[in-house]
Amino acid sequence: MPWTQGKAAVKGGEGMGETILTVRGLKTYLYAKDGMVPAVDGLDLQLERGETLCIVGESGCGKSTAALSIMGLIPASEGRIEQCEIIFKGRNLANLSREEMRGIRGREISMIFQEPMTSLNPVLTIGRQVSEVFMAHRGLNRNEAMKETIQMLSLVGIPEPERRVREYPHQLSGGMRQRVMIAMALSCRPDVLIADEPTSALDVTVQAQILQLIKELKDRLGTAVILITHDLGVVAEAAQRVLVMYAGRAVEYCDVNGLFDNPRHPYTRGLLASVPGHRNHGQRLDVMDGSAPNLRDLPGGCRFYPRCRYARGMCRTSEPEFVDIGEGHLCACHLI
Amino acid sequence: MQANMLEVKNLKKYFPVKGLGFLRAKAFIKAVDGVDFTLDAGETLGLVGESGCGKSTLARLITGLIRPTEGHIYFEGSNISDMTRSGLRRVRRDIQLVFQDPYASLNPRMTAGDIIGEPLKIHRLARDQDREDRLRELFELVGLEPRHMGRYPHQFSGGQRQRIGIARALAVSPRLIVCDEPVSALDVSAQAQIINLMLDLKQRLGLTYLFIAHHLGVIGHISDRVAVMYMGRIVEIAYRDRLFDSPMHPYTKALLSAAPADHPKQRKERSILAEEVPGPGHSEVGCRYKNRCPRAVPLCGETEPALVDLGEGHFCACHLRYEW
Repeated sequence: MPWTQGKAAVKGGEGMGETILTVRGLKTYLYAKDGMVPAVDGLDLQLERGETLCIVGESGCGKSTAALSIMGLIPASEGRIEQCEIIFKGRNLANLSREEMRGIRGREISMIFQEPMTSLNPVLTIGRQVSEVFMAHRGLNRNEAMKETIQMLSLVGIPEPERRVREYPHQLSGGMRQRVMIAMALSCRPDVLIADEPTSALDVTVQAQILQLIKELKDRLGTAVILITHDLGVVAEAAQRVLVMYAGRAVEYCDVNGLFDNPRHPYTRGLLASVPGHRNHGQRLDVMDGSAPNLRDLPGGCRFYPRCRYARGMCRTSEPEFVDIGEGHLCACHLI
Repeated sequence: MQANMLEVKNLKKYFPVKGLGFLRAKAFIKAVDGVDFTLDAGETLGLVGESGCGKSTLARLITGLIRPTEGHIYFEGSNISDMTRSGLRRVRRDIQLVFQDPYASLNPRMTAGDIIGEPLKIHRLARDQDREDRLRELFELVGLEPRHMGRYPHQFSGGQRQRIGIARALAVSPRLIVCDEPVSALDVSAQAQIINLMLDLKQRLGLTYLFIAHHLGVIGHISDRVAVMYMGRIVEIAYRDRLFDSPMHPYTKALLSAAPADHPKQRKERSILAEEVPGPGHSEVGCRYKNRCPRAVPLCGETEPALVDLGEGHFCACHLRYEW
């Protein structure tokens, strides 16, 4: 397993070193009208206690499906997860029953989503929704749960929490709703928080507030965070380690400075070269041609070769393995 | 460079708020509330602001899709804000709009060829073989394959659909294109492709852009000058480098400070805006930014600052602009 070799070589940095979540060989197939789509096709990842891992990739690369699979939130009617290992604190989540999984979800691993409006119930008050978590997972009664809720809302920076608990989601701004989601997700002090594009629907000033909040709470509560995003700015801002996904697979994994200073996979390089900014004003961006492949009609060999300017003969015929190329930097490319 | 292709003077658009009883005073949302700016032929003016600041309303006003409540828009010297329908029809050949959402802005029942060819039909610009030739030319111009003319929008990717939207705007050979968040709905690699296309088209066809976006990187990449909008007004406008390197308005500073770093080594402590944008019922006296401004003084609560010329094309609407 390249992961175990790679990790030993990673030095210093966050200094946690204790692995809390390991995913090996995750394959998730989603059912579509005309057959199965391999949305995630053999993903490995590893998360250490207290770190922030960013999963970055473009739409359709499988980053959200991977997150939902880890959470056990792929309904049997919509898809299926192949035999794989999702080791969380020594237990394989893939083998747990629905009941057992329900005890973990929301308490030990929780999740926040992109659009806080659709993830909150519009006909229940904020207080009712947040206190439900305390009642379900900690067995508190309604009054105790409401007290905890008010404390939690003030922790996530919502002004006047005593008044806000009586309000409904539509009375809150987008940023405040996302704070409520974070309050719900962190109310049981989970070991892992999965945040799926938590700031993509928000304005840039609100995005900065929410990223700051996640970082502060992570440090305070020691939560490990998997932050899913398509925005390299968010990666630069928040990540300690980064996993780049393309067409259902991981193509590169390294610490955040390595990704920006020394990206090795041609796709990662292409992504970084696509970022506009006033420093390179008016210049043509060095773009990747074409778009990501249809997952039901993948090219043979490397999934990226049709868009890769360095592609050679072997890229067409064999799929590169995701291997350690030194100091815990993993990459799936024949040309490294 | 010909001066002042577009001039906007004290432009206002108020929308009445629905659902209030007739006994109550009529309330308005002041989406655009006194906007002035000029746009020179051949330049790209970037307009940046957060959701709800009125930037899309401004785009719709300039393209003549809605009428202003007050104020004027001059296009090449003629006032287009009080034109008749037929006059507007002529102007629309010169000013075209590219929309944000390449899914919602294309009719799913029309083929790409029909979508791009419709403006030619409406403006009676080309028929039969001429139309075929022009369509082929437009497809190639935006990097689409003419043999895909018979396909429907759902058969194209997001980036390709945005190319269709751009080709439709170009069909009538406009001189000014108002782009309302044209790359916001796209993935990073498609976004870069469309930015390149827009830079190429500008050069090849000598276009002028009013480019609206909320993403500072995109705005900084494509614009010659940048205007910052806040709650219906332009609070600062300057040449690109000046705006990015020495912003004067506290809101511009906050916006730039909130933008994520380009590189993890540039992570910084930022001046985070404490409060969020006040709702429509906020106090209307004084500066609209006073509630969030870290430096507000009593004067800010009394009079609204005017957009003042600081020299070298830099304008700023703040009482404290010299004291930062």
